[in-house]
Amino acid sequence: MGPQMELTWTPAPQHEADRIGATGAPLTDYMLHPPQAPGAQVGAPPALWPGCAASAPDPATEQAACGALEALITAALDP
Amino acid sequence: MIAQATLEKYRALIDRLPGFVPPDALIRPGLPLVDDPEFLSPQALPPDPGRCAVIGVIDHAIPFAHRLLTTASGHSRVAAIWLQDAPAQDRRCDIAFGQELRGHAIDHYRLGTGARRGEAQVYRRFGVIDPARRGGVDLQRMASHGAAVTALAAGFAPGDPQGLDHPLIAVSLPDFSVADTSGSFSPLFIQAAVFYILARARALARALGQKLPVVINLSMGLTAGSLDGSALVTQLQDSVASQPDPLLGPVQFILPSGNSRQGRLRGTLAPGGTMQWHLPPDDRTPSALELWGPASPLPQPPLRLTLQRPGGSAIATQFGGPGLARLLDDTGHEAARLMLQTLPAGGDHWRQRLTLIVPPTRPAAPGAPTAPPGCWRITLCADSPGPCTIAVQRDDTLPGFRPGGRQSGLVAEGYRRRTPDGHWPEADPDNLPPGATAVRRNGTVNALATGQTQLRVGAAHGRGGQGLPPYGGLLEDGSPGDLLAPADRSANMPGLLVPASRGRALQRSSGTSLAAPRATRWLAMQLAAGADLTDRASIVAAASAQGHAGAPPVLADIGPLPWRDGL
Amino acid sequence: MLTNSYNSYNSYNSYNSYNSYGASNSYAGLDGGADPSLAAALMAARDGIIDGAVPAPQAPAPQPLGPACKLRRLEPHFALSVLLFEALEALAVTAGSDCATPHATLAARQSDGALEPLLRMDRPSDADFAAELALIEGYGDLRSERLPEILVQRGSLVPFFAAILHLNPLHAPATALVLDLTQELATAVVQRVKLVFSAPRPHMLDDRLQPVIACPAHGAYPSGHATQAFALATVLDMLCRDASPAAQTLPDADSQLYRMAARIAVNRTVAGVHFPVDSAVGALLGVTLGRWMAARAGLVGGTCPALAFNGGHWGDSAQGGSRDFHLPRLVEVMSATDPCLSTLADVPVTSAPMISDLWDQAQQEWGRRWS
Repeated sequence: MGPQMELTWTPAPQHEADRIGATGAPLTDYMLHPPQAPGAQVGAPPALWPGCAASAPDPATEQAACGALEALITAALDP
Repeated sequence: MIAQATLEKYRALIDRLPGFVPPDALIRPGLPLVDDPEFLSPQALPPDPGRCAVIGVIDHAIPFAHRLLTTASGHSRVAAIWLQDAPAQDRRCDIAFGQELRGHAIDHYRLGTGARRGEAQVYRRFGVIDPARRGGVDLQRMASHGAAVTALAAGFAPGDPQGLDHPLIAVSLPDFSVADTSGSFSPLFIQAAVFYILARARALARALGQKLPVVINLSMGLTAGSLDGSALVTQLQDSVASQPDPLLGPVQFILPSGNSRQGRLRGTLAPGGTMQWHLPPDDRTPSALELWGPASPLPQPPLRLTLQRPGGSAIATQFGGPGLARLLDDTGHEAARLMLQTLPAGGDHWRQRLTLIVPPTRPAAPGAPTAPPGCWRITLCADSPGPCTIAVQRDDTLPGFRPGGRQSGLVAEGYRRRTPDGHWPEADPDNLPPGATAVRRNGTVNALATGQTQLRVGAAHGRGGQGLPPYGGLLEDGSPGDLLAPADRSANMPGLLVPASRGRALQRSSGTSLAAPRATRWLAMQLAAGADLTDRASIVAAASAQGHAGAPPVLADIGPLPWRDGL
Repeated sequence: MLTNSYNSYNSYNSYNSYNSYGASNSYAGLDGGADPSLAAALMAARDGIIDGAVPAPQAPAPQPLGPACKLRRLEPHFALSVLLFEALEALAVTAGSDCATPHATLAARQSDGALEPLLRMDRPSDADFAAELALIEGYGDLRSERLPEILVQRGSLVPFFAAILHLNPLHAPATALVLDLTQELATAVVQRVKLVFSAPRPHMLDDRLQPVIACPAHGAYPSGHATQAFALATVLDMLCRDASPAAQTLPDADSQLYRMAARIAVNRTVAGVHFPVDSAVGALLGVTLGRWMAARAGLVGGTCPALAFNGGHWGDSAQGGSRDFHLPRLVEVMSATDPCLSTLADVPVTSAPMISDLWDQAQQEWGRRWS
């Protein structure tokens, strides 16, 4: 990349901002949706950590994990 | 409600667990379901539940079979531990990933067949020593943060009866959440860890038929953030600490004040002012910084910046309101990503937060997005709301982990690394105006530790009275913490000896992460003895009243430790 | 791998420098590197004191000395050569590749020339070796903390055992010779066995392993360090007791000697030059050699247990099928029936006069250790 290259301000599509939300963490979203090379196919995001799967969404795992977390919160806080 | 907000906020992460939790740590339907109410073997139960205090530890690579966590008979004092990225060998209805172990289960394996099994065997049995396993915790190494913190907070010689008064409930955070020092993923696991400790402490209290005070040590730190206690992790801790649970006595959270006082990670940018952001080469992780606008009850125009890359021309931000944008170069590659948000700031006030994220300076592969290393110039436009707090996110590589991030930092004129006589500065000079453009040391406190109820523990040299170690973070008022505790032998001899992960091995280590668990130990002993300490002020007052000198008091003598720490 | 020259190379370590033992002898100068000025002085002095008288030879009147006694009157490194010869007279290594699996057998040579197998070792397949690469990579995380040991243990193992058992060569010279013999025997046998397999080193299968020390030129399976370390541990286990053991011993997971041997073996995997299964078969070979030496020294009723190890099945019975090597795993495999290890018939071993005498001396030295 040449040092004198100009930068262009490019607003992102609204769904991306919505994905992060008003109080969400932009850096976390960045790591889950890293920059793509221009023209690249939006493939499955790479694995974030060696030995782990590519971080594509997994509804079954999410459901099980959320259910367990809700149960944990209940055990922690409910009177 | 904080719990619901937690689940909502981290849903995107929970969705992606397979990306950073090892596959065998995920819960699979075929695993046997466990609903085991037992915690400790009878030999490890507190002899007088009315005079005990639970110690909670949230850390990394906790050696739960360490001799300092056992009774004289070899029984485990660990009531329960959640190994968040260990292989899941069974399933509990409230464990979302990893493996929970109870003390009596550890004993059953270690002592059950008559022949005593060693620590390494216990860890192999539960999958936390497995050289072939990638991605999860590995207790094979001698050096271990969790070993040091847990031993300081809750380690007692096996024959010391006082150990029985302090059952341990622990959570061992996943490798990935710890390795990613930016804290992009750790809040989910820390939050879950807090829920876990509370849940198990309540169950233990029911089992013992006694209200139990709980002291929870969280020796983890971040650098960016609002410092106003609004982070979900901080909110939960404040909420729990200020609303007594009928089953538990006081619940107190203890955190380190952080180690980045000299890191040039915090500053103020006045309208019209410019600060440089230095990105080092060979940084394999993205770098991020945050600009926080002033708190205001009224809507404010969007923050406006001018950014200039090393050797490049300047470009102005063009946010019309909250939103996400990219800076693209001529070839369409993403040079930076920016997001403007408006966040609640307590009362009916709001603050804008502009997050700037740039790619690694060392790309992962040819053609991957890269940022040029060197100094970026950040100017707050003269007509922008301000002054702004500027905060660089933590981005380093922890000892023992593969090379990852390298820390970026702020560069500003007038910032002196050392005083004219060569010392490391402590608080900001009194004559530094609050809104002036400057890199600051005040406010470098651990960003997780900015709540109303948490106890922030800073580091002292030796038994105190020798000036502060150079690294300790400062609260916004310039104070090094609510309490201090020794973390270095002296100014010339950094570090103290702390247990390593196995047997009687010791490691030398330093930092406020090791000061905090001394305070945890001390407070737990006070609460077990019946002291009525229910908030920060009473705890600090009690420390002073006991003769711990200094302002803040230095907990120089918390009773003998079961090893020689070199103090 | 240790050789005679390696031992003298490490003269900084007094436990190893048995050659320097001779330096206390004032005639050390008469040995190989003789001082030329001494020779010239002896010539001149002789010229000055002899006269021209006819020589009157004396008649020799030797007292009978047993071979072991004669051994004590030799330079230590030549005594070692003699002992090694006595040991190797009764051992043989045979090789075969029936059933399409290369195997080597260490056998005891009986007085009628027949060979009785002591340890049969089957080579793991290339796929088995490849399956262990992930373990070696994981162990690599320990390189920085194990580096001091890895570097020292390239040339020196006895100091690690001497730290456990107080083996000072001045107090226990025969023991020192026993340990030297153990190492030399282990070297000779394991190198001969390695030649049968010429098994690959880990970094030949994976160029990301990058060992931290130069990889030796000889094959990997079995591990020489594991063989030597476990032979030393076994010999010391049986030697350093108040009474000789009545039966052959099993490695003990709580023993500092065997723990040290296992650590020495695993350090080679940490360094990146060995597969875990190399340590497993090396440990079994070392234990077998130690047991055989004890039998050859006239102990344990003159029999040595015999085993057959199939490297391909190493790990079959482990939790998760792991092919990892560690002491508790070795003890498990040796204590019960296991797919990778079977028992063969005990082998009768004739006692060797010099080794027996030496062992006796060493045993007595142990008894005198408090004096």
